[in-house]
Amino acid sequence: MLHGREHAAGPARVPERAAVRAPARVLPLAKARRVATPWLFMLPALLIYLGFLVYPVVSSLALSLLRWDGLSADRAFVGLGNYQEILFNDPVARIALRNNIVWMVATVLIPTALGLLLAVALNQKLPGRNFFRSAIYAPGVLPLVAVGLIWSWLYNPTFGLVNQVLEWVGLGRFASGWLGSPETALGAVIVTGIWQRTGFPMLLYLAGLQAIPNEQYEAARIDGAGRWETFRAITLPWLRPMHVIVVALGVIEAVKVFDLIYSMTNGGPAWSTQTLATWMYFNMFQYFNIGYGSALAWVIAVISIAFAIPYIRSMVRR
Amino acid sequence: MARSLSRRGMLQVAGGAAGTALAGRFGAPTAAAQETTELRFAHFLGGTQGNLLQDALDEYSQVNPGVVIVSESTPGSGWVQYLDKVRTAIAGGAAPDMFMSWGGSLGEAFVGSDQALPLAPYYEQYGWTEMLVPAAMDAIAVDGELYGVPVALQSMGLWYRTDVFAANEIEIPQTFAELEAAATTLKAAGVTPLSLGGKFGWNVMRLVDYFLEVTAGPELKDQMLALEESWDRPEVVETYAHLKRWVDDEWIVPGFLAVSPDDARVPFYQGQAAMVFEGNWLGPIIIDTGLDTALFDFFPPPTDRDPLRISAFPHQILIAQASEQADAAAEFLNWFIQPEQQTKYFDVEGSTATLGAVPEDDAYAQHWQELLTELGTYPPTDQVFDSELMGQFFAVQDGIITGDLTPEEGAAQMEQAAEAWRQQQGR
Repeated sequence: MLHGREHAAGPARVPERAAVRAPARVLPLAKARRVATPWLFMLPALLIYLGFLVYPVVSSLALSLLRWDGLSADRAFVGLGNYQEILFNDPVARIALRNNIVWMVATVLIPTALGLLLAVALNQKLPGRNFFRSAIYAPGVLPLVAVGLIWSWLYNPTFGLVNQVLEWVGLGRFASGWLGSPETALGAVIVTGIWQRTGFPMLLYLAGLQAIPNEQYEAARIDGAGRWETFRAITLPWLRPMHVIVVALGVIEAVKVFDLIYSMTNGGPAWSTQTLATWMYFNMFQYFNIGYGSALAWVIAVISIAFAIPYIRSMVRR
Repeated sequence: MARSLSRRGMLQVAGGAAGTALAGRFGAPTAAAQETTELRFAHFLGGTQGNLLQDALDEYSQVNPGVVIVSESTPGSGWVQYLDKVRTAIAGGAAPDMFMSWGGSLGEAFVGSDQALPLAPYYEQYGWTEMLVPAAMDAIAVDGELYGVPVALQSMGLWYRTDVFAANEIEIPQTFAELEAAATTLKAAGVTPLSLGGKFGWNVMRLVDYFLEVTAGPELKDQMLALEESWDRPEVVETYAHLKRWVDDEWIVPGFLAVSPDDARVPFYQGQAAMVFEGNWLGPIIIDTGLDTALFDFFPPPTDRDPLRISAFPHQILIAQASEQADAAAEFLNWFIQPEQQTKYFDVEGSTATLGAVPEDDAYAQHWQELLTELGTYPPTDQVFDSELMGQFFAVQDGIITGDLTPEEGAAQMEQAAEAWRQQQGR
């Protein structure tokens, strides 16, 4: 930031300032200070980053090589044994991985498509569009555990609204214990996930749509392009940065999905809705298999990275 | 007048602020802080029970100025989420001074990991042994040592709607066959016989435990729980067959597997279900929520076995090994388990482990007390098995209910899990 005197001096002082910065005239103390100052400014954030991110990451990697209950002093080094168990001998881990993939496909594709459609619709000058924007985004700001409890009551087989509505409209034969059956439990939680997540891509796409210059659409109209051509050739390419964010975040969230499963089904019935994150939690905090749980956490991290990085790179290159 | 802040000035301000904050956190305590002893107390009681416990804590602070007990409650899931929280707090170096737990394997986990303080010196100092129910102390002892103070001896049975039973001319069942006949009558009358909440597993486990008591009998069942006998046997197959039949005949509210135990009481309160498998704690809840007590009563589930046993378990309060205020915590525990406080705050648990503290004007409490005196008891399986083996138990139970496992497959799978556990324990 320039001080008042420098402003007063004007452009004529520029050569003089350049001369002052010449290396030969900088004192060692001043140079050291200049090097140290940015580090001093960064130091608090760097310490927090090292303490709360880097250290736990390295620490969990070390824990994943142990058999340990998390409380006692008795720790046994098992090398890659925990990873071997997860990959080859753990049937629940396989159920969990399959559920994660199902969850990923459903909660990335459907909210993204719905969010895009809603954004395009609510980008028009419609009556009450601010209300609809807020109403659709609102579930996204609710705590996930609260969302899970609300939907658990909606799905309750005795007094839940879902079954009652089915009765009212004459479809009572489809009433079910939605969360209590392995056939429907995961799907029922996924519906909740879609309801909760759709507002976020809509918001991002709305921001993206408002950044598209109107001249593009006017030129397309003059060239005789129809609605679909305009959408395909102008809207979608301009929204590419938003696609990257929406899909990448959706994939990462899907791999580590926890809250809704935990609050709605607790991983049941019969482990049919376990995901990698809930299975990690069960092992870490209910079964005291800290090493095994840490290994599961690393599996989750590796899968997240494996899905997210190639996608982001390919989208950024275009 | 606004002034721009130089970099050095900003660093000085930031450093000063950090120093002040650190001094506030780690520096010499103020006079007010020195005078106050704060005890953190983790427990799982909520609703009216939690409110009444808070009244007790507040009263203790009034009669002991300078002692504040901070209540840290995790209600709603039983042990499933509450104990996770306590273990995480302990592992993270933020152990509460006192924490509530159950007996058996759930409490022993803290003893085995050296996280609970042995309380023998306090038992001797305060003479607790003379004032507590011996069975309650036996139920929490680990290798003969006491690491907690029992504050309740909970017992369970079948609570039923008296009006529904009367309307269908059903007498209290004295045999297992009579219980099933009652269920048939109730179902035919359009009332679901039993409401359960299967979300965390343990509510349904009570029914499985009961069926096993019926099919295997006390002696064999205790041996199976100790993993001294195989689980792949006809008695277990029959247990799971009973469970499957109760589900298939809709004697249990349909879709109950993902319902929380608290929500499972709603059909019972509304008269849509005739029974719930609950404990003595339901009495105070019925009274405090203003329900008509004439409509609710309970009976011990008939097992056709001698002795007739009901499911019972203790609640205890432990002092964390890491607590720096163990003496203050023990002082509170001594106050809390005195007959005067236990009678006054009886509804916190709906039972007590203090001798002579059952309120004489509480008909429910008196009846439970009689049952505990007359009948034998057995522990719930989740207070015997390790939590990982319990996870297998719940998964088999769910598999039977959903039809993914036949009773024979369920029995074989349980034995497989038990055998893996035996091998892991070197047995």
